[in-house]
Amino acid sequence: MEPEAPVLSARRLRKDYGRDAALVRAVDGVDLDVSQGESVAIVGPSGCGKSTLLYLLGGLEHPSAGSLRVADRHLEQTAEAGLAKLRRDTVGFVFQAFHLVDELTSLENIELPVLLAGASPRRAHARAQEMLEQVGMVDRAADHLPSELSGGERQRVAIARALANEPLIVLADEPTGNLDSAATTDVLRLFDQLHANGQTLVIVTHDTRIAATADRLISMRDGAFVDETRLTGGTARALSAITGLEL
Amino acid sequence: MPLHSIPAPVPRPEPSTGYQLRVVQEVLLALLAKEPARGYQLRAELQLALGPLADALNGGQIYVTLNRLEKAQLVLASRAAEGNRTDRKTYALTTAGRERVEEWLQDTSWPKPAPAEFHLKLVAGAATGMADPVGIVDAQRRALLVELRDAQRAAMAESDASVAGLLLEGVVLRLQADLRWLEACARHWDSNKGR
Repeated sequence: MEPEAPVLSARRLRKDYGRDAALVRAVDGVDLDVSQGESVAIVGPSGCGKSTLLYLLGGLEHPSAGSLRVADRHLEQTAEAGLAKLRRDTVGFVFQAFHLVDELTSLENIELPVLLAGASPRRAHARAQEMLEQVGMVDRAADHLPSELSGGERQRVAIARALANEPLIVLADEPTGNLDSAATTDVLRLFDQLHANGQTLVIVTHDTRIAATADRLISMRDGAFVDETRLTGGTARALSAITGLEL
Repeated sequence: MPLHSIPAPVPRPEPSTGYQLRVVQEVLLALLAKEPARGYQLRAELQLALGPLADALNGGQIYVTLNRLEKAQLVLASRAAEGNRTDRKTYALTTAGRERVEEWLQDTSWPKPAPAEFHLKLVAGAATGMADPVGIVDAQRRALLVELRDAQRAAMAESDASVAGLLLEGVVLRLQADLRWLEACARHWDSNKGR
């Protein structure tokens, strides 16, 4: 059997801002293949270009050079209308600041992308309900405005919205950046469950908990990948030894 | 095993992890502070508090410690009528035992993370040229990430109400802090390369 083609493939991807002396090469020659069902964490210090890279991957920004294929679409050759369709149908975004529409209830926030994709209101409603159920928010969030929810709950709604059109890839930008420790665990549980269901995930983060639980961990510095790790195998020590528990 | 006069090698101390529960004695005494209990009940309470970490619990160890506490008159053991097996004994705290628990609860000593040894390892590696400090940091980061993954997975498996989940959260947060410090180490030694 031939190995499946990666769902996302970037070659020598570059993004420049400014020009001449003020030129900043935010993404500088990135090669990346992401397989179906893989979870990839991209880590690095602030300003290393990881968010810019994520925006390129999701068609929110145009690359300055290089090639990028998502599903069967070559993004460097795609006009804005095509990118809008890609962002709606093929990728789901999760942001640090949630970016929910404050005037809409959680349910309506999730319905929105489904409606934009052309579904009937009835279908969009059913789909939104289903999504809220999947993120464990069905009895909590349906008729609540985002402002009435905790940070962790808002992020779960945002994840439900990202999933609403069954995206091929979920792209997340610091999804736990605004969350406390317990809410982070909730969101990680959710990502874990998505991953188990075969969802492809690319997460940009400096949260080492996300990095440690991903299939693949890529370190980025100054716009380029500097290291790649797969954390295979268990720890040589039992969990209790990590805690230093000696009874 | 043959008996001979070769001195035993000095046992290598376990590397300090900084999270050591030093005092199993005080823990057992504290569990008895509410009411007298049998050994297996103490074990069950510890298992509840420790969750998946309870794999470190050795039932025998609990009884050995209880016997020591009995000899030290910190607990009083009474045998139930139906037999004289150790697990039939009910243990109660003595006044001296209660005082020990009070001291323990107020003691502010805190398990120390052990960055000094690691720090000196990096200094030595750089000074002798025997190892690249950045390489040492990378290897250590990887080891800690594996530990973090396991601890985070265990934390995710606990329910929100789990008291053991709180312990795992502590482990996760400390590993994260260690990883942040390793980043600082990597930056320092990376910029000092070739000097």
